[in-house]
Amino acid sequence: MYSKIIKNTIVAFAAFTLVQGCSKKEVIELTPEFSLDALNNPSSMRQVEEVLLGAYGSLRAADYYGSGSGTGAGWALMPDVLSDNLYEVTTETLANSRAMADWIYNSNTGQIAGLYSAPYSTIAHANIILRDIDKFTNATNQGQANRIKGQAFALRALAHFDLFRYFATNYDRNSTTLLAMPYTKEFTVSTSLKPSRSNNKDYYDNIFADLTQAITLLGNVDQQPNPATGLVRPYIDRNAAYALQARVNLYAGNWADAATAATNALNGRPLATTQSAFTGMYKQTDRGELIWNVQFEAGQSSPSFLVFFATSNRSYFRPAPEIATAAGTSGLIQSNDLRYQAYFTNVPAAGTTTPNLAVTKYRGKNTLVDGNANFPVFRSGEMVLIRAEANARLGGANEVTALADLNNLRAARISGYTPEVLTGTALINAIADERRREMFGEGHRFFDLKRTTRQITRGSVCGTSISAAGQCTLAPTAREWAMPIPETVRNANPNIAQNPGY
Amino acid sequence: MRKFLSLLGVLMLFIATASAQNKTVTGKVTEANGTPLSGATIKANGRAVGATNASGDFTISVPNATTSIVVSSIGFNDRTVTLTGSALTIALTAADANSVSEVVVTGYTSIQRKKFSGAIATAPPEEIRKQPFGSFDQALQGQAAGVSVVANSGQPGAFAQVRIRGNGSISGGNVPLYIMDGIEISAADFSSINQGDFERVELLKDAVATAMYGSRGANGVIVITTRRGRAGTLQLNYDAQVGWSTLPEDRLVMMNSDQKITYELQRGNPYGWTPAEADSLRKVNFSWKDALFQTGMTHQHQISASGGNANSKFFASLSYMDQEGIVRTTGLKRYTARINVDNTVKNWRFGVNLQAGFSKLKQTGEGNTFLNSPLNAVRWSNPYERDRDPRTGEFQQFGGPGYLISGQPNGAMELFLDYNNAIQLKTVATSYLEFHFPFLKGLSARTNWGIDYTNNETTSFNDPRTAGAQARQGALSRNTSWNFRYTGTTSLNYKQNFGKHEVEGGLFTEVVKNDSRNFGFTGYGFTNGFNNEAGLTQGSTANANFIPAIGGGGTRNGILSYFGIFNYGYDSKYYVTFVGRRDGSSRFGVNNRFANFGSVGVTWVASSEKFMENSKFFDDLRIRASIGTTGNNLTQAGDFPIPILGRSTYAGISGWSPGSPGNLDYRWETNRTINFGIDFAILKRRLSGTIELYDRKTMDLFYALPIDPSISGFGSIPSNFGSLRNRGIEFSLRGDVIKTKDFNWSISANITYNQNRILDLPQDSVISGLTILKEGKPLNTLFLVPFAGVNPANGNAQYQKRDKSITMVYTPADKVYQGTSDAPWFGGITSSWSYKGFDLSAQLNFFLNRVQYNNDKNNVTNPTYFFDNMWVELLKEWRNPGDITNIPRPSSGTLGGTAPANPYQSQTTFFLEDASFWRLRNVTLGYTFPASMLAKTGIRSARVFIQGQNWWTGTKYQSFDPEATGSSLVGAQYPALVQTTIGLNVGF
Repeated sequence: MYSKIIKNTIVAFAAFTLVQGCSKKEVIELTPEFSLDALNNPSSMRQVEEVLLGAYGSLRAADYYGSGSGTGAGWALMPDVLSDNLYEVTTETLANSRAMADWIYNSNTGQIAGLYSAPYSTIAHANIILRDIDKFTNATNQGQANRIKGQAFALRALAHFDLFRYFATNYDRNSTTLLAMPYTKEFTVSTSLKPSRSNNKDYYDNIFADLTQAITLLGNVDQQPNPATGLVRPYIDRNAAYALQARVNLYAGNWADAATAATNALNGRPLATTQSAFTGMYKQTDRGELIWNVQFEAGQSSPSFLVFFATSNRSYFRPAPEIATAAGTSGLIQSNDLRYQAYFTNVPAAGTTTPNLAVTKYRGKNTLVDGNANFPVFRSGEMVLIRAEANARLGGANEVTALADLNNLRAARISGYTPEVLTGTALINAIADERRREMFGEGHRFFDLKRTTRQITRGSVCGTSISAAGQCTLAPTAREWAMPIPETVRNANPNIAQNPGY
Repeated sequence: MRKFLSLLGVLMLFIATASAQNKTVTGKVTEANGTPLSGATIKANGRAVGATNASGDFTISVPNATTSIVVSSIGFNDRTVTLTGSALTIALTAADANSVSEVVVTGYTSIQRKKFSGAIATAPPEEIRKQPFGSFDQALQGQAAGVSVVANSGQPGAFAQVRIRGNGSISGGNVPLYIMDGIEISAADFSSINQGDFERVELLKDAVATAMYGSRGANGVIVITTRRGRAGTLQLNYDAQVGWSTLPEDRLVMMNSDQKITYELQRGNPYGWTPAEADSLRKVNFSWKDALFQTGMTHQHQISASGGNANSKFFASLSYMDQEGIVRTTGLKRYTARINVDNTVKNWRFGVNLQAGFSKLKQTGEGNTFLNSPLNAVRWSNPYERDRDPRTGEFQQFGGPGYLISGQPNGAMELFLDYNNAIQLKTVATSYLEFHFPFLKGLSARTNWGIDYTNNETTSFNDPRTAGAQARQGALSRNTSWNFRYTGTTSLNYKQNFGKHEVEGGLFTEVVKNDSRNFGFTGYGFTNGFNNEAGLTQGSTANANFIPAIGGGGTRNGILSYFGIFNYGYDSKYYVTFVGRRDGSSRFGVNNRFANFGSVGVTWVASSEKFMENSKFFDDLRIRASIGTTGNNLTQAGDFPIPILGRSTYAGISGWSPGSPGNLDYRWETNRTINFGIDFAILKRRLSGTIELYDRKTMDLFYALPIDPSISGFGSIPSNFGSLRNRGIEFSLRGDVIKTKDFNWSISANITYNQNRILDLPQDSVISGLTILKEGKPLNTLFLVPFAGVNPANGNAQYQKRDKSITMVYTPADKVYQGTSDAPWFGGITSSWSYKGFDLSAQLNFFLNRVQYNNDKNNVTNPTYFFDNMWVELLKEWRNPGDITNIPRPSSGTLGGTAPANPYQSQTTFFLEDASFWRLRNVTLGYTFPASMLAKTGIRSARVFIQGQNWWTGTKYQSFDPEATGSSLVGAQYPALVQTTIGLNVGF
């Protein structure tokens, strides 16, 4: 009798256990409620388009165009920090980017790892879009698909090109021995896939192929990516794709293609000629000559904080006196230049009243001083200068066009400018100087020096008590022209060759 | 108070009595010295039938057939008494700590320690109850072998870092599981829990001990049992403490005004002081410590009541704590209430434990290197600047709004104008229902369900006047979150003796489910003087700067377990325990959610053997051994290891970004623990102790396997790789040095040596900042270049290369292993004296052989930062050729080519310090009034005491306090409190 009761009890217990077992679905087989499962998504054209927005958002990363406190801004202000445009202010800096500013980076430097991974995040977004978009494309939404795909191709080309600017040892277009980076065309999550570095030629070929696709697709869209009117141009349209094509061709030394692409980019994007239109690009009060800007909304950081901490008016770096001074009467950019007012403000260091220029380009939108500002990736000024440089280097009859572009630009910027007549090296140097003025604080100087003179000589304050930098010159042979491949990457993927000297 | 009593009255109504064909038994229970013992439980036939009253007397009714009763009382050995028919006088002997008859609680069941093969330590509850910590885990320090407790903050209510037998996980969680009355409660979240309610705290260390929590027990389990009602007359207790806390000694000395001005002039007078200004500033010597620190007051009150009869018992309490921090404006206020009720009705047992707690923490930023942390301002602000201008009484802001001249924010403004609060409402409720089957003695079914609900609100306010807050006119962030967890355990248990065979077993099923949600906003535009929501300005396109940020989220996870526990004993000498489990967790990849764990343990009571009984040496000798596995589901990858797209926005439109690569094969991190233990008592039990040897190996470590970001944008994939080992020895000893009628002296001590070693990594020698993960080395091994003094010729810092030669050129390639910040040696020594009514005890804790990187010092040594205050030693920096000093020249250049560049390097042994310490954790002097003195007052018992926490600390570490977790003392340290309190315990 006992055995029967025991049996019954155990059966009852087992039944109870079973009931609890039914809760397996409730307790164990859980799915996230606040994020999207990527096994089955994106699952519609709409979601693919939302991934495109994610791709743009990835450009705000602290190591891309965004910044931290004295760090980041990899493709925004860092190339200026690395060059002779800025100096580190001894009494104000927190020295958070000392390794970068003093060219003492190595394969363990944290910011280098950020420079390596930030563009690949954008590329991953683009590859997800390109992987999935055809699944949802049909006859009725072809225009929309073209618009999304075109932007994805352009973003993929942009991010790869940006990697190339830092990590390639040389920008030679046709070398099959110099190493570029892995060109990634598929999104793969794997511990076994270990790509190698592509050579320069293949890498350029891939960038150009993506850009050709982008330009074609963006020429046949359901609607323009950017609204017809407004204060910003936050999306890559056909002009922006041409602009990137122009810039890549400039680095590649394809002068004629660079000039053609620049002309295409300038179509419908004339130079800003007034102070309000020009300053408005940085203050979001006028779209001026913007071709494409990365949008930073309130609370979404800014390119500024590497150099200027707007909310506390603290300048970790200030413009070199060779660029501009508080008096506005010496240096490359003087007070008669509308760039002077757009780029700089007299912001003395805390506790002092000595006039001192700060880089206030990205100080805030409109009249705000919170450091929240957009970053102009492409604008007409650069295109005019690319065309000028390309034509000047083509030489001969093209020098006339080059000079016209240079004079044109200067006239648009400098009040009372009288056109100059220059040829040959003088013209090329004048264009380079103008490029330094025009693109100051927009992430070009280090790369421009890298592709031209390969020589940095920092100005008069370097090594003084004002800016106690340990190093004031970077020789053409220095390994630091190319960033090292981060140690973490090489550990994970031994196929990635290290750059020479590291 | 009146309400409280009427509440108790209602509870009393639940009390019922049962009667049958019974006889009445009367008697008296006393201590060995004849003192009547109230509240002792009388059991007959395995059931509680009554308890003694205040004078130790009892009257019970038992079935006619009953021949014996068992008398038990906490702190005394059980005694079985044969019924003689006449009134009984029963004297109980006091139980020693760790004595064989002691019962240990491993969860929903309790077992006699004698029979148990697992490694368990019991923390003395009176020690935990009395120490005035806002988070009870801090009171565990030094109380048990194998358990390392390090507080990281003196903020009242801040939790400590508790590790049982070392760190077993590199990237997953290392936090022990906390169980209160059978259900899981959130770890490191104790500011709303009152330790005055604790009856027992057991620390379960090996696989057999943690078997019931196999799925989560890898990091050890801390089992808290709250106080139960005692049968007998209503007992009321009132406990109070009042005291103060102060700042500990600061061992990192900063410059005074005179020194700082001297240093500035030496460095080129960056602020351009005129000689007159400099002279006047030299005399200022403002104390930022006095401005920002205070003597904090502590009040603590608790009323508790307990009572009931054999069938129905209750315990209830109310408590209040108000502890001010030593940083001005900071503190903790806590209110708790609890009711525990246990009932026995025929074959049913039923009980409910209810607790509600409310706490409010006022905090300040700590553990960071932010300029705007007041705790950094204490170190960094120049001593010639002041918090307030003495002429106007206004905050000094000579460097612009919110700033001092140096560009350092005025820390006093941040401390007094800003606020940073955390409010918590926490409810823990558990209930159980137990049925003893009438047809088979020893068979019972039990179900235990409980919830742990926490509601948090954190608020931080930046005043628009403070540094950096002007741009958006201040900011208010308020975040609310709730966490709800239920735990349910259902079991069928059987326990019976057959002659010399003792059989006990249970089949269990358990479910744990956790849900959480959070929501918060940050608003701006505080223009109307209000510092709460009333001050918010709603943003719009016209003032985009004031557009508030809002956000929220949530997550959930669950565990489902089936397990069986089987104990067998033979002849009271040999015991064996088997545990088998199957556990599923939602946190793993769909392919590997379930895993099996098991353990086996044996105990040999050697002292019960015939051949030992003749030897007079051992009064008790037990040898234990166990081996088993447990799991850890505190993953690195969070709750969902699937590929995920996370929300992002661009240009005001919502989008998706890859959030996590996921890993569908992600699986349990498994611990295999071998334990070998010896318990002994000698010299008539005046010396007893335990030695444990253990080997805990963690396999399938949670490890984010690094991958090349080029293929997916991800830098790593959550994976299981590698193994590490903690092995060590734990030694606990308790001795009665002097034991006389009036004077007693006892000493107890525990010491632990834990050796932590990484055995296997997917990738060896991964450097992350200051530390390295290296096979054969412990976790948190510091990896730094040896600093080799200063070159007298040019003032350059020198470093030692790997080949021991000296160089002036720093390279990370010269880094070498430097030891670990996790103390391998730690323990505590307690000595107690009592003379008549007086008692005195002192506890000395130690953490030895640890090093820590002193980033707090690095922050004030970097010559770049000389616009702020500096470490006083910098006055000795190299200035002229031939100077012999340890501080390099401040300049980094090449001195016109005469020396190599001298950039400031922080990752050197210059900042590595011996962080071992000895600490007088607690000293208590008490006096208990004799019963005779109280007889006429209506007071049952009374005791007064004075106690001190952290009165003395011995260390070489240069900071406020060496007690800090992690490999680096980052900065903004909130030092541990030095406390003194006076207390009173009264019983009615």
